[in-house]
Parts: sequence; C-alpha cells; structure tokens
Amino acid sequence: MMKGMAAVLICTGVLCISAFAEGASGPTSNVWLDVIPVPTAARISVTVPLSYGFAVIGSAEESAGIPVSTINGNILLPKTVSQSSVPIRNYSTDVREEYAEEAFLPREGLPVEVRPYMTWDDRYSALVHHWEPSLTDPTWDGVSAEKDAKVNFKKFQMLLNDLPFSKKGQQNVIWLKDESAIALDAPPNVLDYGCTPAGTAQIPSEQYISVQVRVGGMQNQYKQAEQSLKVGTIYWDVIPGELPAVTES
Amino acid sequence: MIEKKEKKQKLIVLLLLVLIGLAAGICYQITKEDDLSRLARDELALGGMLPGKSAQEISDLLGAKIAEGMVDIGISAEPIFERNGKKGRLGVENIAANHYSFQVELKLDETGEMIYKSGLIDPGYYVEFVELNKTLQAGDYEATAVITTYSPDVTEDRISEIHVKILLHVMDGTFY
Repeated sequence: MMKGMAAVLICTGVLCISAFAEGASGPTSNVWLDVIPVPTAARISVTVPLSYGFAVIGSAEESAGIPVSTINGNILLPKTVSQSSVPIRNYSTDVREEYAEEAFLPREGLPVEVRPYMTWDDRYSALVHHWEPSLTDPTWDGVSAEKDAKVNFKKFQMLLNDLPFSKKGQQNVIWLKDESAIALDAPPNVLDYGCTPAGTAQIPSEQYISVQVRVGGMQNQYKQAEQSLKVGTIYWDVIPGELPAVTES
Repeated sequence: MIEKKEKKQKLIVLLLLVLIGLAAGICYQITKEDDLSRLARDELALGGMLPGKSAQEISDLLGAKIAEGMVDIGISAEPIFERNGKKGRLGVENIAANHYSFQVELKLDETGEMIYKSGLIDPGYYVEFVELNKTLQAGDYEATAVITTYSPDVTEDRISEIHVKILLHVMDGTFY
C-alpha cells in the first residue's frame, strides 16, 4: 500500500527558518517546506471498443427458412476492422519504487486486465423490433429447435474471443462466460520508445479480439425487405496489474 | 323552489365533472408531448434501416460505428490527495482522437459512496487536479473511477461506461 506513496513523493525534509532578532520588533517568519510531489507514477491508459454491431439480411420468401448465421451468409458483421476483430491497446506505465527519487522517472510498461460486459434493459422489450440478448446459456445457438424459432426471433448473443456473453450478474449485467477477463501485456520496451508528457507509453501493446454473434430465428422471420441492424454497447472494467519482478541476468 | 335548486346543483356537479375530464385530457397531452421532447423512444420505430443499402454499405456503416466507439481513457492509478482530500492529481485525459466526452465519478469501493464528480470533459481536454467532496482521513482507499462516455451533440443518454480500479492516497500535508 505504501509503495505508491513512496514512489510519488520526494521528501525533502523540513526546513524551518525562524528569524529572531534580539530586540527586533519585526514579525517572526516560519517557512515550512513539506514535500514536493512529482507526477504520479502509475498511469492507466487503454483503448477499448465501446460499440459492436451486426445486421441480419431478412427475406420475405417462405423458402428462406434457414437459420440466421454467418455461415449461411445472412448476418453481416463489420469487416473494416481486420476481419471482424477489433484491437485493444494498452499504454499504461509505472515506475519502480527504487527509482522514485530520481529526477527522470524511468517508466516501464504496466500490464492490465480488462473485463467486458453488456447490459440489457427489459423496459423496451414491448417495443416493435426490440433486440434482446440471449441470457445465461453459453451453448445457445439460436436455432436449436424449429419450435423455438418464434421464441428466438430477435434474440442475439455476442462472443469475444469465442467466449459468449452469458454470465448473468447484478443490475442487468451480462459478463463473458465465467466472468472472463482479457489480459493485456505491458507496452513493450518503454525505456527505449519513450512516453508522452502525461506518462503513457508511445508504443502500446496491442491485442486483436475476435467478435462473433449468434442470432436467433430463421431468415424468413425477418420479413422486412431491409436488413435489420443492431448496434449495441460494451462496458469495461479495467484492473491495473503490477510491474514484473526484476530477474537477475 | 327546492326542485329548482336541486337541478341547479346537479348542473354544477355535471359541469365540474366535464371540467375535470377536460383538465385530465389536457394534462395527458402535455405530459405525452413532454415525454417525446425528452428523447423518449418512438414506439413505432422499426429496427433496421430504410431499404436500398447494399451489403457493403451496411458493413461500412457498422465499421464506422465500431471505429467511432474506439475510446482511449487515461487516468492516474494511484492519485495523491492533500490533507482531507482537498486537492489531488487525478490526471484524467480525454485525447483529441476520441469521439465522446467523459464524465468521471470516484466511488469508494468499501461504501459505494461517490466522493467526486466531474463535469463533461470533451475530447482534447484534461482535468489534472480535483477536489473530493468528502473529507477523508490520511490513508489509502480503494476506489473505482467510473468514466461515463457521452455524445452530447447526438443524445443525452450515456454511450457506455469504463470502470478503472484505483488506489487513493490521502496525505497529511499540503504540497500542490
């Protein structure tokens, strides 16, 4: 707990100047120099996606009674970001305690964990064409039985790195399966690549996470001639890690 | 004479009922219009988009939405506050490349109490020093920085939230 404090403060001691002049009538001056703060050591900086989206290509033809899936070609995912994957970047840095008193703080890359979640709001479920996340079943495929097709219509399940959002939490939160987190490596070689004045790494560590979606129902249930579009939100928890232990070479 | 008086009373009651009915109707209309003006969702809105867009156009549209939603957040992981939490360097940065504005709240993990709330911080702006709205004794406090994103030109609704686990150090001195 005290590490951060030691890392960010340079104690310069206490200087007390008392000016007493015998017989003088002027005021007494006490000047206290307490501590001089330096920029806070640990700095968190990450880039994460807050939005996701997909579109279903519906059909008015009765013959189009096939499941909605990417394999069947009736789901469109954004492809502008490297084949349905999105980057997450980590620019976080920290300073080792033993260097805290140096004039130039030697920053190193700090690993972090990010944990995504979604929310759902059943207040709008009665609205026309409201999309609803499929909750709690990580094996849900949206088409498990034809009789379920009506139930599954307009339901969806997002997956990141093949893990579905299927773990129900408190306050309408849906976590990834097993409340999984994504570990982001520390930014590489910060001492060489350098930092911004704010203390974040110039070159981040980067990880591409795959994005998939399962959609319920059959193609001919989406009878609108137009494609049905869904754009939703991802929320994130960010948990700072620790600098790796120094290994003797 | 009594019969005439009774008739008059009945007429007054009837008139009052009609007036109450009218007032209720007007109130309902005003409330309904108010709801719509406060960005209530249109019950007739259909999911999807108007016909005529190609698959490539839709894919590009989705891609643009994802790209717009890429957000970088920056904050001190262990901010230090002066005596009683008067002043501390939280160092919230909303880089110019972001598309959304931030609002930041600090909440103590132990009690859930909110001890700081910023105003909107637009892209290209930062807040270096903040003052807590609660007096804290010297010590360390586990807290969560809740960064809520907004697109104020589009909607008053929040876009998303990012929660960052941080550790507050409250000192005994003053030094900023």
